[in-house]
Amino acid sequence: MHHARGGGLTRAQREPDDFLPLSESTFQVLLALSDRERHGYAIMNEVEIRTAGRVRLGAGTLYGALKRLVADGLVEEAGERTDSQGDQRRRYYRLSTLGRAVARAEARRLASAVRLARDLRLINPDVT
Amino acid sequence: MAATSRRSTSSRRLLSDRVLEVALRAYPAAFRAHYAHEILTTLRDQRRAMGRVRSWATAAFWARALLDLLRSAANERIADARERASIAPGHVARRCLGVLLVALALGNVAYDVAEPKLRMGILAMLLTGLSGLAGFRLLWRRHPAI
Repeated sequence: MHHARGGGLTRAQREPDDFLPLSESTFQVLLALSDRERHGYAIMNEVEIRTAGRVRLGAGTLYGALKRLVADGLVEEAGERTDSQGDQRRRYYRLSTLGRAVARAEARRLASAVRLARDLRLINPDVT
Repeated sequence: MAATSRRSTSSRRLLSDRVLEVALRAYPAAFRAHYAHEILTTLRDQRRAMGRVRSWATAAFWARALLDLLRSAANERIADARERASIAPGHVARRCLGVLLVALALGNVAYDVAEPKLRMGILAMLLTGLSGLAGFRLLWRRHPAI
């Protein structure tokens, strides 16, 4: 998982590029939170569905990642409430402005790598 | 028969809860206080979503969950230890500097008292006072919470 880098810099001083590259699971967590607030179990499910089961986060790994993301200011806690099933109170998480900028920067970085691979004919030019 | 099955399921659940609670003790206290309930709720959600499955599948699920918890707890312990180590050297250095400055100030005063012929000038007195104050400030400043 992603660990804080650029020691000595405060959160406000850190630019989105300072957090790159992200680990795949960190990037997937940010993507899962890009369209709405979710609780831990919903993040897990979303990541598994979006990656067709390729990335599966364990509960311990997920909350360790969330703790670091919250500490780095990429994700914010959005309070506790019961979900639609209404059986348990759950803590919700949302993407911060910095988190969204970091997710965009990582997406651009990956897109640039794909363009390079395509130019070098390592992958089919039709791959988008 | 149904009652026996229910009792067996219930005792398995109690056992899994107990094992999870023990595994959660491997985390640093601060992490456990904030996330233990969330982790347990998420694991129960996952188990519920599996529905009725064979016992080996249930055992495999809990084994995977346990391994993940222990691995994650080890990572949290390491991160915690690194954080402490990164704070501690600065703290030790500040304390050493504090002791040095106080010793310098006290030594200067003691020398001044012991050797009345060599009185301190105003600048030396000022520097001695500042050194003592700075030293006491460094020594008495509280260690930042980790």
